[in-house]
Amino acid sequence: MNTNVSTQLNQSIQPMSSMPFDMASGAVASVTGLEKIERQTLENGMQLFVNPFDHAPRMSIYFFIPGGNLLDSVPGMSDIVDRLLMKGTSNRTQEEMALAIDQLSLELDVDTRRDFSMIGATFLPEDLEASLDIVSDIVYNATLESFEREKMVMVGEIQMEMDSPQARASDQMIRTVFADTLYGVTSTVFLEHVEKIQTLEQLQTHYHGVYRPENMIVSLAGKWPENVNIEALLAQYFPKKEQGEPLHVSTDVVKLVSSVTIPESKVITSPKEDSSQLNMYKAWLAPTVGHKDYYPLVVLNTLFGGGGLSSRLFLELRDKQGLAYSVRSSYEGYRHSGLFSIYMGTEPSNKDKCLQGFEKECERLFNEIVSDKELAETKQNILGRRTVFLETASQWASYVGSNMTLGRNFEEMAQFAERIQSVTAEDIQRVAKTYLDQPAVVSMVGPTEAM
Amino acid sequence: MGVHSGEENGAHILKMQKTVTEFTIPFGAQPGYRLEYENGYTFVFVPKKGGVFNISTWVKTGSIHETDTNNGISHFLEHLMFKGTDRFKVGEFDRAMESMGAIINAATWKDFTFYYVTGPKGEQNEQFAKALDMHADMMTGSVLPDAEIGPQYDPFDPDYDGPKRERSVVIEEIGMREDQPWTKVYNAINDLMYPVGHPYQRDVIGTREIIGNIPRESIQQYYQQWYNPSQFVTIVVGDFDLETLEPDVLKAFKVLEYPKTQRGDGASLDDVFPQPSQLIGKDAPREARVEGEVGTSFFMMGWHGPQPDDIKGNIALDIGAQVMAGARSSRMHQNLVEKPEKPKFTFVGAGQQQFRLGNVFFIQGNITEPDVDGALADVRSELVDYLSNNPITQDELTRTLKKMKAEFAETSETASGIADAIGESMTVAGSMEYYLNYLAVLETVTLDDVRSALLEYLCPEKMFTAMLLPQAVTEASPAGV
Repeated sequence: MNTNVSTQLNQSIQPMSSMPFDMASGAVASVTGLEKIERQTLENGMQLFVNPFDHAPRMSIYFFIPGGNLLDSVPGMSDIVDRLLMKGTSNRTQEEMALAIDQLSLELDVDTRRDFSMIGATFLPEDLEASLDIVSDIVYNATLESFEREKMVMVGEIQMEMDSPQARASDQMIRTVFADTLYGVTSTVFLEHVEKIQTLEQLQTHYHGVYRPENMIVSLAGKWPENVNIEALLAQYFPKKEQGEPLHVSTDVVKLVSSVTIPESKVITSPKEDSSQLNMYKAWLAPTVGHKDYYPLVVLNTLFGGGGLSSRLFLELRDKQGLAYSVRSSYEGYRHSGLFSIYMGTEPSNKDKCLQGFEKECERLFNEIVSDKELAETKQNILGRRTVFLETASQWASYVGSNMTLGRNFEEMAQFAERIQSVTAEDIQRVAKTYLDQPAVVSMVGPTEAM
Repeated sequence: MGVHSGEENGAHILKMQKTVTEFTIPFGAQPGYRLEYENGYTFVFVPKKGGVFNISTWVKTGSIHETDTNNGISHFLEHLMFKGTDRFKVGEFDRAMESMGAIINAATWKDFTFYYVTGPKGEQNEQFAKALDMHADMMTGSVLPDAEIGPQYDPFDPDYDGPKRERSVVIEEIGMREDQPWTKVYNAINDLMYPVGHPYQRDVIGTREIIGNIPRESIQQYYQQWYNPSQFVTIVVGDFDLETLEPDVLKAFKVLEYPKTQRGDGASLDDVFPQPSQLIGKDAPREARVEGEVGTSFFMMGWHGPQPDDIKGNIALDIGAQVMAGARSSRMHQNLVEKPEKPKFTFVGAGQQQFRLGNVFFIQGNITEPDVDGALADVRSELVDYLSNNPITQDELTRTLKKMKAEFAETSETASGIADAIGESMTVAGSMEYYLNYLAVLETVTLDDVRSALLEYLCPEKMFTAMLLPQAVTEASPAGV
């Protein structure tokens, strides 16, 4: 099937500078919904992806900006700027902003990750313009003035977060693996650098450098009012930004995060004497989101410990040995690196059994070829689950937006199913040996004597 | 909404009377149907476009039906329900469902236990058919194998070296919950709010002693007592039609095999345990302080609230909570977190939990300031101001109505959101009407309704407080350093 995207558009949309494109034959059928998406670049520089559908009562607009924590002049700069976006603009005080957001019942999802920042807005279609007005206000007019106060609040919140042993173990793992790089910016790393955030100018440079229309990938999904010209509205609310200069991730920063290695295995512990459980992560470096081994690792992770109740770690360590309630693996590909990890919370005396269990399951991946049945079931798990997680407007908008922001092209996103299907048992064995038969970081939080 | 009795739909296969009720959910496009059979089984179908289905079965039991000797059995059984049937041995259900990308899980709370599958229905609905068959089989035919339960053992014996199976998984779950600061505070306040022996006083998950020692026979007996179609509400949400669905559901759950007499789940409970608020003596302790290795302090203030089917009372308190501490613009969030130059709180929230035997209302928050009593006094003075001097305004009411409407829109966006709302309404509030009528009643609530509900329920002398405080400062571990 060769689909000309522009013929399937909602006719109310009148692109300003439309760039319809053909997707590879056969790709469209495999990803329900993608065939309706249109891509265009607006005059203000925004790259726009629109995905109209009727079966959701709300609509969603996500604004993605590549860079994320890699743009931080001080580790965690993005995170504090994110928070300050809603703490007052030249048009609205903090309280007026809170009121305006609540009056619309606007759901705002503002966050920075390793490779991007985002502002997601979800609302009832009747509130489209009023919602754009608020997002525009925070993109152009945030005063950032209450930053000293916000620093104090964030320090308190991080203390609360670290009262959870699992959160502490995770923080400790990430900051160890990506030590001294901007991929390793965790809550506690922020705590250590927070006093370097001293002046309003530092914050403004970041704010105006990041939140600019020409940096934005804008992804819309859901149901919107008829006769609304989305492009004209986006042009109206997001004119060219006059203040500041666009920020770009420096090649030095990229060099640093892409050259992270774990030269030898290490164990990092942090005591929490009143803990009933030992919280444990084991982490390896893994390939980037754009690497050829990305898809084999997605499949490996699902069958190993990311796929739910039928994954290997769950069956072996929980069902057969009763060692844990929570046990799972996770793989995240970033633009310039990646992380594969296992998590387990267990009674402290089980520590050795669990670590041996991890090793045994890794050995099995290295030495035994995955059966055709397990491989096929794992692939179906991944593809089916994606349908389940693409039900709402905000799920669709953030899915398309984050894919584009992480540097995928549209064709690759459309071919997700084919790429998963083409993974072989040999690929899995190969990537297991390549990435998991390597030095790893073990992070533990629990009673001292158990560690 | 039309109500009619009889055997109109699928009459040829039915030997049992049923009541069919048509309804439309908030933000729903097409009508849904509730089918109530003579033996107590209820089946609810909500059509929803898109490729995703949810099938859930809610069982009208939870820790409400437990005692001091079997506390935790409802939740333990919930784990064991995934351990196989005569038709499918252990693991087959998990693998079959997850290999089509479905999400499977279950949850146990005080008034209910529920099991669900959310997944892609398949081009010819073949995946849904498989989910219905296996889910119903699990609900009605679990065999609870000894080998999967694991032997009884002393969970405190450090030398125990025997097999560990699901019994140990639940004991690990108890440990995990003990490490969560909020669970500690919740358990402390919950302990104060109910008299000794009240089913709500116990922690749903039970204790290590009980889980380590409870024999299979007790679990089996409990299963037989509570798990039959007369105690089930099954909900299907997805792009299907009722005519083909109903016979399949009845067959899968073997509904017609269950005698008519098994209806009901012991309404007498409500006589044994009247309003919990009346069971607490005037002199009973109302404050608990527990210490832990935390860097900040956690608190909850609690009150007993209205009955769960008092829709207007529930809504009035829901609105009251939103305005008090539920949103960015709420009183306590603004006055305690956003506006002070040096805030003592990282957050303050408020909300109501619905229970069959009476709701509870909580204010909760996290304090970074060492003077916890001073911080709590600030919360109380905000509360007094809200209750007496500066009651809810029309502006606050208007924007809260909008927010709650949007929350219903959000719920209706996913098959699982719809199913959960219906299941909870039916098992806790006692009927679907709570969920169906909520938005309509919401429109009629006045400022006076909210104010008088707050005054009625949130009296200072009826308040309970629990805190989790840092141990002696020298011992506290600094966050992540």
